[in-house]
Amino acid sequence: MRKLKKKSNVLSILSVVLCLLVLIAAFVILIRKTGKFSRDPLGSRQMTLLETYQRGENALLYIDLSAKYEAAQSAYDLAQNGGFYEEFPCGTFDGFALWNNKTAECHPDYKKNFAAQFTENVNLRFILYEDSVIPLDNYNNLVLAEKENKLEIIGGAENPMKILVEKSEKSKGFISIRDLTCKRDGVTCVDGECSLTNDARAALIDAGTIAKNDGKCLYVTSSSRNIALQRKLYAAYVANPDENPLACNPDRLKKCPHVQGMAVDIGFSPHVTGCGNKEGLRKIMNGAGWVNLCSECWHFEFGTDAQKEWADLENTENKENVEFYKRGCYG
Amino acid sequence: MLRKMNKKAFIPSVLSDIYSFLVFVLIILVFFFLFEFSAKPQTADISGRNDELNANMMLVNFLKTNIETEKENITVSELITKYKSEENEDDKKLICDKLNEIDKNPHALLIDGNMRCGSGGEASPIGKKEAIALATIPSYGKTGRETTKVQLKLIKFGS
Repeated sequence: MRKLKKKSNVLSILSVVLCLLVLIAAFVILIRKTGKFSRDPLGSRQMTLLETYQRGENALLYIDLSAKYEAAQSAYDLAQNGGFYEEFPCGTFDGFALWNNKTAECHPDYKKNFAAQFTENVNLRFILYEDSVIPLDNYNNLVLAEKENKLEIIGGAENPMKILVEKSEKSKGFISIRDLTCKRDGVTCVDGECSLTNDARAALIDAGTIAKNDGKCLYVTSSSRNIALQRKLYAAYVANPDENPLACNPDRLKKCPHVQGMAVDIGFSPHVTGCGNKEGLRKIMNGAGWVNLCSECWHFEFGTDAQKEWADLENTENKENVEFYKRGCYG
Repeated sequence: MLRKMNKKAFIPSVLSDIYSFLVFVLIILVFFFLFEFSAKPQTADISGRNDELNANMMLVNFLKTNIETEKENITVSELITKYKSEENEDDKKLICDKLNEIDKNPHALLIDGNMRCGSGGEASPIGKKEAIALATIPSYGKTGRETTKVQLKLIKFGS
């Protein structure tokens, strides 16, 4: 019986210990489960997917309409050139394409020429589309069929259009700078996006204060950009580097400053026609910690690797002798 | 035999039972307070945005809608393109009337941010209870190829 009682004692103690262990385990598990909600409302991700689908529908509508308009335009353009797209095998006379000359007959292959002209024309339309990137030269295999005195054009895309499901500006942590005014802050934004990272926003307000004390106002003409817009700017730069400013390729460099919300294009005027007082602008922006891209007087960064490197020089001795620090610009 | 054993083991067994019980109650109490006070209420925003998706679908469908005119069968988007590129005010008015036949509310459908058909002034700022859909369509302007932004504003139902 003593043994029995000892066993019952052990049982009751064991029960208490077990209960303690179970409760500790439950506590630890429950504590771990209380993860925080993201800053976006519930269902934002799903909503973004649906919105991306809608953007695709909008792009398809634009493509359909562009094709319709440009088919007519291409027929007109070809007619102006005697049915030829670029080359005139039999030459021209007084600006008109010849279909024959003394040695040869050169009737245009209207299907081939139309396809080439059409591709060029729709490309001009696709470049104008801002919401997403429509692939260029994507409708080379056009099928032209004559049907009841009508020309039917069927074009299938060679490559699918890609629309990235992007995080919202809010979830990227960008803060709006749309509220800044010339009168109160010495800086204002005339861009479409008007948002920056929190640190860059604070530094921009510092720059605005310096400008305001100097009796000036700073105009932000570009701040954070979505990838689609950055791609478009890069495509424009590649197509015509002489006329378009240098743009970062977001598909190669993952740290495009504008896409990261760490760069502004800024000047003393709301129109990006030049920088005006280039040195004066750089002095104000450098004073607030922004670093400039030497080749673009309007482009300033805050929070990027280049800016951090430049800002670190502030604490070094003989910084006045460091060329990079003195210039306040990189590249 | 039993009686003898009970007498000897009664006090320690009762004591150990009481201690176990007390410890058990103590544990339960400690964990009750732990669970009670470690649980922080968390809030998450839920917003209804169904109307915006509907507005987008409505806009795209509306732009694809066929209209019969005297000369041809065209879509609403083509009519808007014609409206944008038309320089003759009389013809512009005719297109306007046609657009008004289809869509009675000039405040609902905006072309490049403006109310159409000379209803006057800029579009009103977007209110909180309005769902907005935006689509870009190709058009022609003074500089040749251009784009036109068509906006559809819907009054949201509910909060």
